[in-house]
Amino acid sequence: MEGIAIQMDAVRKEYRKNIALDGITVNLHENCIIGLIGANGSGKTTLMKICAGLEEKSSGEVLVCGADITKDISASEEVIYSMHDLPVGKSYRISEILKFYDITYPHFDLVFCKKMLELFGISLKKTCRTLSQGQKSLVHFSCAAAARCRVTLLDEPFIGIDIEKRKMVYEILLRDFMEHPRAIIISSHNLSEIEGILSEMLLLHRGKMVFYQDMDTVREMLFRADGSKEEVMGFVEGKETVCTREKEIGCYAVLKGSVSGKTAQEAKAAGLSVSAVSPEDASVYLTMPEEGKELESLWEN
Amino acid sequence: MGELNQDRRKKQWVSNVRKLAFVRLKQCRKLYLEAVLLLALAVGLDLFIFFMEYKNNFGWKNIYGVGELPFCAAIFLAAAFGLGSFNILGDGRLSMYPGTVTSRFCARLCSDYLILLGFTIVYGGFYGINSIILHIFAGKDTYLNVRNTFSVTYLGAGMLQMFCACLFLHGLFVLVYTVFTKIGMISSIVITAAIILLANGLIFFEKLNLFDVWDLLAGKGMTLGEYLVFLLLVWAVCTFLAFAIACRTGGYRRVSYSLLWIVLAGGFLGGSACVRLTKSVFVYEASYFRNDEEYLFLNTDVRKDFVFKYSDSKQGEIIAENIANGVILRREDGYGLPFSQIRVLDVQEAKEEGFLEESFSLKENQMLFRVSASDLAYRNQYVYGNIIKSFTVFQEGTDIFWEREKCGNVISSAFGMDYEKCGDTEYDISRYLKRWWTDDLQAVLVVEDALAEKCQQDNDNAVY
Repeated sequence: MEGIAIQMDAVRKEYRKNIALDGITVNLHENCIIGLIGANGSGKTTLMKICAGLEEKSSGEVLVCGADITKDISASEEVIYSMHDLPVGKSYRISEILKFYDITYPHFDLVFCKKMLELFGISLKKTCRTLSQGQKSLVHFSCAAAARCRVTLLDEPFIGIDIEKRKMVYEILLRDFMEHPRAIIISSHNLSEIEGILSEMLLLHRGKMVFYQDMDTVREMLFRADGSKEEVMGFVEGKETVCTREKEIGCYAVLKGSVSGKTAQEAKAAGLSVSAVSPEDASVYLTMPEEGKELESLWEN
Repeated sequence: MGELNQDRRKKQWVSNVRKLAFVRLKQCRKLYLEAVLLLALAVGLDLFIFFMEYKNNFGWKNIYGVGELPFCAAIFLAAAFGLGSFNILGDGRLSMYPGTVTSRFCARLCSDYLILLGFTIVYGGFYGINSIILHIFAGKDTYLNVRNTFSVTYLGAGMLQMFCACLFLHGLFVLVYTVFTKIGMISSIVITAAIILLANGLIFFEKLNLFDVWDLLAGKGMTLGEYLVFLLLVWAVCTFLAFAIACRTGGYRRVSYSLLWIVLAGGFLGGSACVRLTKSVFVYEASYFRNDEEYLFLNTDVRKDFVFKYSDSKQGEIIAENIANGVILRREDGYGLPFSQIRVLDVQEAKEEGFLEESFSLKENQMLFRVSASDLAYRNQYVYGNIIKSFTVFQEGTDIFWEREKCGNVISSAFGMDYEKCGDTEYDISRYLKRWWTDDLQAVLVVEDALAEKCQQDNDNAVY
């Protein structure tokens, strides 16, 4: 169990007929910042809530810090779940909310949290009701970061935050992670922005895990070959593709492998323009809807 | 090592419960403010109504404790606090902090109980404040009797009952919600509808009203102690079951808070409709008190005799005049005996009017003071019986005094003594005087013929 923050074994969660998680088996590493990526309804929040002990799994096993979080209090004190709109109570002052965190989380750094909020220009005397969405997100992020838990689960933590503050948040997150290494799991739809601070990425699609890899591997996972329809279709024949776009203009194929790999060299030799696929694009290509469900279908009669 | 580990876990669990309960108490602190404000409003309104009544009705007034408005407010608050327990599992404000299902459940229970205790103390406090305000208002006004506005025993009993009733409600709500969260929304609605229909159907067809149903379970013929034990027993069983259900699987489904309101509204409307149907229309009209089903006149007469002695006819005359004029003083504070009229009769007249038995004979230089009434039962308590039993009239020279014995109180009945045997005179008298039924108690002074004649002559002379 050394080096593993969260161990999930065949975790399944059903809401009546909807399957939110479908047999997730993964070991999330300690001391890394993990991006939990996936489309809406892919199961990110459910997975996080199960890890935090806020939702009950339908089957499977989840161990957080080597223990069952629903039964072990010391393990639950090592996990914090935060989102942009936590039910902290709208009528409480920020100072009171900080106090609640300070009481319940053994490693909560109250001074650090207050400094962060001061930096963000949020008064401790304000109540949650009077905060904007971005300010709420900043408060919840500050609390989660200051809790210094071994497992920090941030569910869409940057909603509503302006670009300037977001950059500050990324810097704080990275710097604090270096000071206090721990497993930080962030779910976000803005992968291109947080890509720089992530060390690993877990991609979910319709309740199933697509991959869990370190960021370097993800960057080398796919490449894209653009060219005329004939060239592209001629090249991909007999090769394993992730997706292809067979239009007269803008035809391309996404293939597995590194941009500097053998297949990419072959594509270049075949006259195709080869480019690396960013992690964000990779997550899009790997979870693309099936043929016939593309945008064009909206205008078809 | 294993034992050490277990001990450490136990300590952690206790510490977690303590922390979460503290957080929840902090979160709920505004509830206290709201409770205090609501009670203050109720007490204020009650006092205002009383002042207006007093202004418009001159004359003797007895004031007893708090009115019904603060009590209704307190009941409303108790129900509201009880309803707060409805989200005992789903309350995200506490679930977001570290803990397990059991520790969160226990923390919520502990904090709720502390809130209820605090509320009970607030309620008791208002009883005291109300009394102080009434005392200040009354000042030296001799027509306003405020001596009975405060009693430590009633305060204690009232708070005890309030706290136990809150626990009772809390236990029921917690169990209902816990079951609902396990069976889901649709099943909850179906079961709720079925129970409401069944209960109201039974009440309707069996011609029962809700009070009767309640009296079948608790209340009638119980001592206060038994009543409290009943409430606590229901609370304990419900809470234990809820805890067992909540902890068995750990998970729960969200159930709409409004469902509980549907349960309550359905129960209340259905129930009250049945009460209206089964009660006499007369009850809703003017002469409410005499036809109140809670009061029942008994055929058995109750009475008490006091014998006064005198050395000569002059002394006898003074005593008879004093009594006839109602100059029977209460030793401590000088208030008169609460009889509207005391008649002076000779032996023959008393026999003719049915106050004396045929075989009765009066000894020389003696007079008989007899108090009697057809007894009245109020909720199984014999009001006049208790009143008559508890007071003594005695003679000191030519002065006649009366004393009322406090032969019991609600606190002593709480600890096992039968309520009726306790003879809670304060309560009985307060009830009796509140209804202004002084005519029902009859008092007669039976004197020798010569003395009766003399008294009659004096009266006639006084008239002319």
